Amino acid sequence: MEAAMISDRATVTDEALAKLAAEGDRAAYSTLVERYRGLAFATAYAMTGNSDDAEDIAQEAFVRAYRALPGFDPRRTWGAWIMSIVRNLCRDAARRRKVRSAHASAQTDCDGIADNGSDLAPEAALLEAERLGELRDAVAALPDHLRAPIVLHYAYRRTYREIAAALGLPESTVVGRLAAAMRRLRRRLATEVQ
Amino acid sequence: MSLVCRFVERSLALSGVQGTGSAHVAPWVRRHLDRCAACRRVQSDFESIAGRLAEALDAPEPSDAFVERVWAGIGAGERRTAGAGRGAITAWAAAGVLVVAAILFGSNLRTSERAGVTEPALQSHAQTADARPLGASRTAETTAGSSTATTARGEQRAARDERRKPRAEGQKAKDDERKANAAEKAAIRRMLLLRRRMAHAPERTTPTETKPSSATGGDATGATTSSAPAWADIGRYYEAQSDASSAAYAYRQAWHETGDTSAAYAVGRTSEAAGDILTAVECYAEMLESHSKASSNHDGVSHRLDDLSARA
Repeated sequence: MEAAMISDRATVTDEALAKLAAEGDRAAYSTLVERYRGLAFATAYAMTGNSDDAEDIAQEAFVRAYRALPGFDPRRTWGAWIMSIVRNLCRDAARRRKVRSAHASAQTDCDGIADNGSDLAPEAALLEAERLGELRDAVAALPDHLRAPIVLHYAYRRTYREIAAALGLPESTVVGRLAAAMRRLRRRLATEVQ
Repeated sequence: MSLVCRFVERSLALSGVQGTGSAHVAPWVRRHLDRCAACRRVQSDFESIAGRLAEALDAPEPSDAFVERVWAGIGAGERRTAGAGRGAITAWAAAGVLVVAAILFGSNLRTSERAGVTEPALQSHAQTADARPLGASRTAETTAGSSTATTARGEQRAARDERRKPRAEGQKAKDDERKANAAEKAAIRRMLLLRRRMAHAPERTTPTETKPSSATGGDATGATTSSAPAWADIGRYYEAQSDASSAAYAYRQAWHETGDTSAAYAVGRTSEAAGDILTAVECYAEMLESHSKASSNHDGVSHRLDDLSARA
């Protein structure tokens, strides 16, 4: 039944749902959570690099947003608001501990890649896994403002508009940061090869 | 890498990111790529990196129970808020009990203060007045105790801690009041005692009759002859201006310079007029001590003490 209600609300704008939720409509808020949980989680993961932290941060963001709903201005954009809460929580978490290890610690799982790699010979799979591991390390070594767009764009296939909304940036800035990140990755990988 | 190659690298990075591919690079970039092998390698690097990034990077998804956990977090927050609300209500109730107790205590304390001011000389009355706050405090304690007895044990502990603060402050104020009353009573008792002793003094003269003594002293010490009358004149001037404090100061200077008991009497009289009863008593006591050397002013002192005792 709840799913039916959510499907009925599919065409309702975020701000209208936020207003309904502020008036006590829990189903409306569930719809909002369903709409934005993926982007909130992906943003938190891109900024923290840890899926457990990302889950906690995204959930905490929705809890805080619910508590602050009575003060939400309907003229504001709900998506920008919830993503700003996510970003602030990520910054708080980063201040508590420098989370950069997850990307770097996601070392090459040779067995897993060998299993997933369908047509490659064992030696070629090992070589490819090593290259992917280098690329992961290179991404993990990027500064935060360059790593988050790369993760959101290439790992989560998010559009520039979605990335811009998630990070609170203009689209042109997102494109520029992606290009800058690509140049850094190429230089780092070229240095490692040499 | 030349400057042109740097621009080409930037352009290739942008076009690679935007997904336009090598077919959509700018014509001048394409021309440069045709003749520059290094930039062609850069282009292939970008394409390789972009192609492997999706495979290299993990993209975990939120758990299936994400929404349920959000609602659990919201519910936990609401329970905490409700608990805090109950705590606030309890604190307000305890504060209300304290306010009632403080009002009862304060009203009884004011009554006792009034009794202490209007009946200072009557020791029995003062003792009665002193006894009132004790009874009142007991009443307040009983009231507060009966009120808090109905509350829970934790609330009682919090209320008791809060109640101790105003009670300790009230006790301190009461002690100070008692000390002041005791000092005032002692001064009045001493004044009455002095009055009785001076009333039985053998020689009685008026204060004005002692004035020549300063002239006598002035004969002996020429330096003080000029200043002592000046201080006395100043005292009389201030007394005429109804400035008793300044007059008392001037008379005291005259007394210290000449040792004239009439000046001492004037100091006592003006100090008394200024409300400084302790100084007045000290002056009269010193006059009595020096009575054997120069017994003077006794009538005046007796009159003043009579007036004081009559007023008391």
